[in-house]
Order: sequence, then C-alpha cells, then structure tokens
Amino acid sequence: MDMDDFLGWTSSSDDIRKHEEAYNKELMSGPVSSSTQFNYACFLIQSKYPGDVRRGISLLEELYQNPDESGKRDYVYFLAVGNARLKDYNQALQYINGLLAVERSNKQVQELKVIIEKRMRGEAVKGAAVAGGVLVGLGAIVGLGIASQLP
Amino acid sequence: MSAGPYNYSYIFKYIIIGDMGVGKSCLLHQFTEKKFMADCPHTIGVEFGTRIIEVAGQKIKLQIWDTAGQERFRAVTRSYYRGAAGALMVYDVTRRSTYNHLSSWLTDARNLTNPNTVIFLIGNKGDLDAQRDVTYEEAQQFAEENGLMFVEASAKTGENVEEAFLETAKKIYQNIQDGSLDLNAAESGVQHKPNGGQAGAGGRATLNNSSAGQTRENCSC
Repeated sequence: MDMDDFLGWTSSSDDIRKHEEAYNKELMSGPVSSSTQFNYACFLIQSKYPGDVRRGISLLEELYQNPDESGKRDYVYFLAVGNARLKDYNQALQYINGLLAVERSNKQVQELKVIIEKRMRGEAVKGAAVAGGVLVGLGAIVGLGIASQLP
Repeated sequence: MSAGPYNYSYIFKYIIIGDMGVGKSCLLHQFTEKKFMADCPHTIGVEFGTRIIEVAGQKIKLQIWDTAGQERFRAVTRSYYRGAAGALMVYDVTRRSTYNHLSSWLTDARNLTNPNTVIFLIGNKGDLDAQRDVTYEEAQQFAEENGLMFVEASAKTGENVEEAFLETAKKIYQNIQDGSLDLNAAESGVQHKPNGGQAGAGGRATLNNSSAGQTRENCSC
C-alpha cells in the first residue's frame, strides 16, 4: 500500500467486474446512461491490465464526444490519468494542459501534471540506462571482433 | 541508507468524506502544506496527499485519500474506503444540510471499512461563527452517540486541523498497541515497516493485501 502518488493505485478486479455487468446490462436494453459508462470507465483506467485501461480510454472518449454531455472536465482529467498509466505521457500532458488552459489555478490538475512530468523523467533515465547497456554490449562484441583479428 | 523523510515505521491509510463544498480538500491542503486554498474547485474523483508525523516516538506516514463530495463520483470514491485505518468525516457548521447527511456518510463508512477504523467527525468553517447553522453541542452529542471523536476546525485559520489528523493517528496507534487492531488482518489500513521504512528501497513488508497494496514495481502503470 506504500506509494508516492495517485497513479499507483489500482482498482480491484471485483469492482471492474461489477461495473462491467452494470454496463452490459444497460447495453442489452438500449443506450447506456452516461453515469454507468463513466463509472465503468473510471474503474477500467485504474486497472492493472493495459487492455482494460485502453478500453476505459475509449469509453471516456465516447462520452467526451457526446455534445449533450456536461462534466467534460471530469472526462478530460480521467483521460489524462489513463494515458499516463499507459505511459503515453505526451498525450496525458496534452489533456492536462487543456484543463489548465481553462482552470489555471486548479491545484489537483497541477499536481497531476507534476506527477506525470516526474514519471516522464524517470522513464527517460531508465531508457538511457537501457541504451547505455546496449552500447556496452556492442562495445564488447566489437572488442571481441578486434581481438579475434589480432594475430 | 540515509535517514530522513523516507524513514518511517508505519503507514496509515486515511480517507476524507462528506458533502460537496464542506472543505475536505482545504483541510487536506492545510494539513499537508500549512496553507489555505481559497476558491478551491470541486475535486475530480479523488485527490491524494501524504505527510509524515510522529506519534509516541514512531514516524508514521499518513497516506490520505481526499474524496470528491459530488454524487456523480460516489461509485468511484467508495472504492477507496476499503482498508482505511482512519476516516475524517466532515460537515460545514454554516450549512445544516451537510450535518443532516452525516448519518448516511457514517453508514457508508461503517459498511465499507473495518470495525476498527477510527472515525473522526470534523465541523469545518469554525471561523464563520456569525453564520453558524449547527451548534457545537448537538454535533458533540451526535459524535458521542455514535462513538466518534469530534472537533470543530477551520481550514482557513488552521485551527484544530493538525489536531484532527494527529488525534486520529494516536487512536489508531493505541489500537495497535493494545492489540485491538490486528496488523495481519486484511485491510487493516496499517502497514508496518519493522526496519524503519528502509524497506522502501528493497524487500518491503506487506502485511496488507488490499488492492492498494500494489506497489509501483509490480503494477502496469
């Protein structure tokens, strides 16, 4: 349960299943209400499985595109969370910056931005370490090649 | 491993619940940043905050989930109740309706947390005495009848904010000491780090198998 930020929290599979059932039930008998779709999407984007997160994102995008919808700010916020959890940080930041353009002083949104930027830097460091490892490997192979050519 | 802010021996999970606009996020902000946040927009889903405190010489990390008061988030926010060691239940002393809804918040808290969860009632906006709509006495009686701890506070002036968070932690710690809170029980809301939190960098002691027990290393995020 130790974690540093909100993105580390994951929803339980029981919760996801419960909201999936509610969603499917409404889907069978007509259009799904926005609240049912929103709840299901929120649990999906906090899932530990990337496939669930992607499904949650598409459900939120659907809600966002509905012209009658109020609460677009909520959808955009959760779209940022979902994309950040998939490590698509650039897309997440686009959503965050869109929110901040409307609500510049929103502390909750500012904090999410800080978390995303921190994770972005963390990934960059990890990426550099991997690239460094590859270079060392290549160096060793090249070195071996040179060594083998020596008389 | 250096000592410092990451050196703590317990983690306590808290939730903050109550009607929209009672000042839950402002209380959290006052507690973690020691500042008052004016014109605070409605919380989207949940917000997260942490602060390390000290109780009886033990460093404790409070992991605080501040929930949105809006009805549209109820399904989402309820999923954060599970495994809370402490619940701060907030109403606004200047708006009677927020006080009248306390019994439904309390029912939710009792149903979704464990029997040992410490519930602390906070009457916020105590600085607005001229606009008072709920007396101290009736709230205190409500708290007594339901076995809750209680204080009137002000996120604006900071009065009693620290006390509410700290008294909750003291009570939880006391429950651990006298054995009424079993750390090995699932969803106790408490995690013990016997070597002073240094496990954070390596083998961590997980005594809790709630969904929040996912660490960053083994989740997909």
